[in-house]
Formats: sequence, structure tokens, C-alpha cells
Amino acid sequence: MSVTGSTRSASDDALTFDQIYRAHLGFVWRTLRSMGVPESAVEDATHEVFVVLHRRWGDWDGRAKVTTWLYGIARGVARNTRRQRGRADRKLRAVHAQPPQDSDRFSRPDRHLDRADAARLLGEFLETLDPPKREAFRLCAIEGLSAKEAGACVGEKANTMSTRLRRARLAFDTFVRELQEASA
Amino acid sequence: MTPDDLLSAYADAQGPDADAQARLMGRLAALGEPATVVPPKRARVGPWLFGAAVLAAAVALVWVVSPNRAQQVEDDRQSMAPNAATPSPVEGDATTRRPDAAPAQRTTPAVTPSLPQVPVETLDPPAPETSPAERAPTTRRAPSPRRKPAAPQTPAQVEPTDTLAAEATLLARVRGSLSRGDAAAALALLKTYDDTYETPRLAEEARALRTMARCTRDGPDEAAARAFTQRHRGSMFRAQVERACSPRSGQEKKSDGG
Repeated sequence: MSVTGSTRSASDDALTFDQIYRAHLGFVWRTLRSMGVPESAVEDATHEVFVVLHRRWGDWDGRAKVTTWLYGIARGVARNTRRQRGRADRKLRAVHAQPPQDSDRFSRPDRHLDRADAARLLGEFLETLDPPKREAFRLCAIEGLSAKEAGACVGEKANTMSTRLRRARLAFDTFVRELQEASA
Repeated sequence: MTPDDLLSAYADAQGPDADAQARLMGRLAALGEPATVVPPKRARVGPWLFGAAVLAAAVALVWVVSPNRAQQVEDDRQSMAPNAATPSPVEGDATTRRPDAAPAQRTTPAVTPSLPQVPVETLDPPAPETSPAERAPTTRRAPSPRRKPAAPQTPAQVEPTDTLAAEATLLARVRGSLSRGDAAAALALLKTYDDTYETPRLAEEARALRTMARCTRDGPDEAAARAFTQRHRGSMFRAQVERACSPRSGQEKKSDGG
């Protein structure tokens, strides 16, 4: 049920930095956001992750999945960013709160609204999950990682991730069913 | 709205928008290519080594317990039996020693009765006469497969960054034209892009923009969107292409016009 397939888009057998950058840009961005990086800082943080990747490029021997590596870098960058930017971001939000702007102008506003509503609803659903299940669901259902890959990211066994994912999916099915009943 | 729609909408909303993607692509150009090239994934030799060891052990076991081997051992014993039954001439009286038999020939069979009959020349491989110091490298372990080979840094592997920056800039102009709804200008810029770069590095983005521009100009074309997504599975431009080429998008354009 993955929607991004970030780990499938580039074969790990013949990767270039450019390919990794383009294939995993969304993965890194969403991961940083899920780790609490302020919205105003997520672009710089994403770039910083890839700067680190660029600097350590020669260290990678291909044993680990690139998503695992990126996740580890993102965790460190997120920690630093939260510390550095959190206070400034709170002040900025207090001064002028602006609604998020969608720069994609290829589709209609009402369609945006539908998708925006869907994104908001799913965000609310994710908030109801406890953090371990939420991360398992995000990595597997949204980012398309296997339970083993997701487990490598967060330092858990594949079985543990499978259990968390199964419970999160049960909750998600219930959530979707209720949503459909409400809209019917 | 299906569960997949929910997940897709969330992924889009939480991911970078088109402007951020373009900006990040430009910043990637400033980074340039890393100095070293990622080696391809190492072949996992561990299972092969284990398998080879198991196979060698199995072959050795079969050789040891095989009927032929047992027969050979039995033959050896039988051939040794007369020597064992008769008193050893070496231990016996010196007067009984046969003059044509060398002492070594009398003593060695008792020590190595079960050794296979191997020609003498095969015991000593025809190795060139070298000093121990010279032979040492041949006995060293092979380099670990996980050990990274020194990646040669040839000039050919380091691509100039200005090409990528120029590509990103041109595609940003294409995106700007599309944002203004000027599909013709976007397609003209994409034609320039195709003519300029024979082996473009941002080909995926260019294809996405071309598909979106055609859908903007000619109307919805789900087949084109499907062709793009099939060619670039997992592309981060997928959602944009699908939105631009969906029939609903076309209806919205008509309602705009009406």
C-alpha cells in the first residue's frame, strides 16, 4: 500500500549521487517533518542531509540500504535543526501565521481542497497512533519500505515493525471505514 | 476517497512542493558530483564460501567412506599382511637380510601403509624456486570482499557542475511557463532542452514537464500520464503529472472557460 515507492525507484546496484538525490528527496523531506523539524527549516535541513551524504559519499560501501543511511543522517540533522531553529520558528509563527501555500498550479482549487482535506485527515489519524506505530506506518505504508528496512532505520527487528504495522493498519482500516460511512 | 488516495494526498502534502524541488535541484548543482563513485553492491560471498566448504567436506567424507576407498585400504592391508606376518628382516638376524633390499625400503611401509599412491612428482608442485619472502604474498588471505577498492578518481568521473545547473535553470523556466499556463512556450523551451543536452541528467523531470505541458495544451490524457508513471515508477513528479492529465482537470479547465 505504499504511495511513494522511494526505495524502489532507484536500483541499489548502480546508484549515482544524483539519482539518490532525486529519488529520495521526498523521503528525506517527509522524514524530517515527521521528526519535528519546523516547516520553515525543512528545506535547509533536507539540503543539509544531502550535503552530509555528499561529504561521506566515499564511506558508503553499499552494505546498508540507502534509505537506512539517509534516515540516520536525517535523524542527526533533525536533532540539530530542532535545537537551532525551534525557538526562532516559534517566534516567527507568532509574528505572522500564514496558511501553507501550494505552489502547484496545474489543478483546480477545489481539487486542492479535497487533497488538502485528505492530507489533514490522515495527519489527524496519524496523531492518534503512538509514535512507534506512527513511524512504522509512515515508513512502510507511505514511504514503501519493507518491515526489515523500516526496522533497520529505527533500530528494531523486522518482526517488531511488522507487528506495529499490522496494528496501525487495523486502526487505519477502521478510520477509513468510518470516514466512508460518514461521507455516505 | 480510497485509502491510497489518502496516503497519496498525505505524502504530497508532507513532501516538497514543486518550487522547493526546483530550488533543491539547483542547490544540488552547486554541490557537484562527489569525488568518489559509489561502488556497486558487493556480491555476498559469505554464503558461497560456506557452500563451498560444505561441499568440500561432503566430497572428502564421500571419498573416505566410499567402497572403493575401503577396498583400497583393505588392499593395502592385505599387501602389508605378509610383511607383518613374517618377521622383519630389520629386526631379525642381519644374516637374513637380503643384499638387494635397501633399509629404507624395509622400514617405510610400516610407517605409511595407508597413504594413497601418489606419484612423487605430484607431491612437489612445480613451483618456481623463490625465496620465502617472495612466496609470502601467495599465502596471504585474499582481500575481504567488503573491503572497498580504491576508487580511481579520473577526470571522466567528475562531471562539470555547470551543465547540471544550466539544465536545472532551463527546466525552472519551463516550469515557470507552465505555471503561467503558457504550454506552447514550455514545449518550445523543452525542445531547446532536447536539442541542447544529448544525455540530459534531469531527463525524468523534463519528461514530466513535457507530459504536463501537452496535457495543458491538448487536454486530459490519462494514457500519457500512465506512460510516464510506468516509465518512472516512484517518480516524485507522478502526482503532478496525474493531476495535470486527469479528466477531472480537463473538466475544470472547461468550467473555467465557461
